[in-house]
Amino acid sequence: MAKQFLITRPRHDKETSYLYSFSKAIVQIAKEDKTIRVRELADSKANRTEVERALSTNDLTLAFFNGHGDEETVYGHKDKPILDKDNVKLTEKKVVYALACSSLVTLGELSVQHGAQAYVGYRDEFMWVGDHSTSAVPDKDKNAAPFRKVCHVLIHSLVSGMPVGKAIEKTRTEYKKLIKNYGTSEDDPFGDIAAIGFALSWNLTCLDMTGNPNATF
Amino acid sequence: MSDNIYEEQKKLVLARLKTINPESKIMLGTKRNISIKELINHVEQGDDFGKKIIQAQMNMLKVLVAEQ
Repeated sequence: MAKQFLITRPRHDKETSYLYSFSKAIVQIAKEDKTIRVRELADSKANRTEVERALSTNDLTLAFFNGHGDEETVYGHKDKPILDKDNVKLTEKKVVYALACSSLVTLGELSVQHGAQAYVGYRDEFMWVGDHSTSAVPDKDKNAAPFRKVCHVLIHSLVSGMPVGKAIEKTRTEYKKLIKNYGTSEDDPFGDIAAIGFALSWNLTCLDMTGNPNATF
Repeated sequence: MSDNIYEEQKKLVLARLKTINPESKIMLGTKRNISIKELINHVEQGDDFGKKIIQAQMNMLKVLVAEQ
């Protein structure tokens, strides 16, 4: 069966620009893998119609949503809803990872109830620390580097075919490693290092999944 | 969790947060920034967000004291 990697990448504001930056590497990697058909929905293509078209397939699909979110909805370009209770049935048999705030709480559960193999996401807001002097250029933001790293570890594990449960455990281990590095402000009392540690620990607390931990892409 | 444990955790977390530059800002996916000073206010007020902050900080301490 063909494998489809669907990724939504809006970047209409500061927050989505960071997420867009975080997913650059995995898009490159997936495009180089000839066994994977990449369906990249960037900017204005990150809309409901395109998402529904991409999800309307029997191909083995990993859907990676980047954008704003709340408990019931994941949003795309210009914060228009792209996945919610009205179209979540399209995630049937798919593996879903939403790098978006809070969507695991209700939408994730609903997705699995409608037959998704697994839904990975956050139970609360996703946090990161940006360097305000370079915040217009997320690619160059060193404060954001640990957050970029954990996001990449998770999606790369999923794209590589690791079972969802193991991918989450690997990501949690990476979070813990980074927290040990950024956990104290002794050497940086007036900088952002301890704030980075706090945000990493928040995300570690909120990252979770529902569905089958043995599901793979 | 008993009230005593919660109050002890709250004190510990406040002590830790007060070592961080209060003007450091954390970006939230919900289109807002929050400063360390504001995190401290939430913990002091004991609201839902403050309680989650305590939980995240306690998890962080567990990670920091755990063996590699």
